[in-house]
Amino acid sequence: MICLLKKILIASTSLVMLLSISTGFIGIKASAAELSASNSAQDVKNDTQELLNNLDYNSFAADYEVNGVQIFDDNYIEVDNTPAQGSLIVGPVNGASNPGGIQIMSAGSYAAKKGLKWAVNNTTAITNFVGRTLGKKAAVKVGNVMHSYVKPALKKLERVENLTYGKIEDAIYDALKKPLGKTGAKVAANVIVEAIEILSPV
Amino acid sequence: MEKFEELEDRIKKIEEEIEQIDRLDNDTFELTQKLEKVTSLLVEVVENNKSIDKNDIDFIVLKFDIDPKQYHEIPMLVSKKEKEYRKNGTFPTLKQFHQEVLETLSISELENNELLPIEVTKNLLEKYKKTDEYDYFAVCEKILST
Repeated sequence: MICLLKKILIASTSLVMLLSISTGFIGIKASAAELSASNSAQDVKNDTQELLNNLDYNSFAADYEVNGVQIFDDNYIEVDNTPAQGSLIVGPVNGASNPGGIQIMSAGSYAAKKGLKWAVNNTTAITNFVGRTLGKKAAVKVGNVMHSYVKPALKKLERVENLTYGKIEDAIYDALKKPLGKTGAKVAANVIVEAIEILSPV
Repeated sequence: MEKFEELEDRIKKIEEEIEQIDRLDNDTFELTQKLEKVTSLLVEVVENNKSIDKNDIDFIVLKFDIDPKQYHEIPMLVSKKEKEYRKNGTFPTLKQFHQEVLETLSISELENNELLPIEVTKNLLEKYKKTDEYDYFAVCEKILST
């Protein structure tokens, strides 16, 4: 009987030992699996970091930023986070240089562009303004050079980006130097731009 | 080398001539402006039987020999006030505007320390306020009412 009990005790002890060993093995195996997973995650992380480090962000910006507007897709447009104060987004504008069809410009430039467009089609109103402010003779002089000198100069400016009234005045001055002389051109350009500013419906 | 020096001399001469042309251009402009003003005043007196007030702005600029390049500054000043009025609804008082006219013409005192009378500015505003089909300067009426 005692012998039988001894055998049972030895067998159970062996069983417990066996179970402990197998559990330990499984535990080690689980830990190894975890370690392996952890290692691969770390590898991925390292690889990603390396990839990110090697990326040239500027190349993306160069390809997709037009006039301060970042374009990630034809349908999604992200405007620069810090636009100039008083900036306006206007569009759509068709042009090869602007795949997004959106143009950003300052309020001053927008007003100048609108004023220019109005001026090209309303030169008579400008001449009348000159007559009203400087007299009939000045109006006749400006009227004589309006179609041959001023209008072509204004039309050339239609493609200029970031247009200002200063640029319009300079262009008119350059155009009028030949027919009116420097002093006359300076005064005429000043008055014509004043006329555009006050008369154009912006 | 000799030709090079000759070329340099020619360039120098051309530059001097350009300066002279600019001076003549300026003088011609000034004389033309004065002549046009005198002619228009004369026509007003003779043809239209209009008496020219001694406080008329055109007479003032001729009498005190104001730089003809500044003639257009006065209508531009009125125009700027009109722009401000249209944009913000603000306009200066007659006294403030008179001061700006004096500054624009670069005159603070006339002969014998006599100040340019405010009537000059009043006449100016009357001239530019709505009198015909144009209605550019509604601000003139507003300034005159202050």
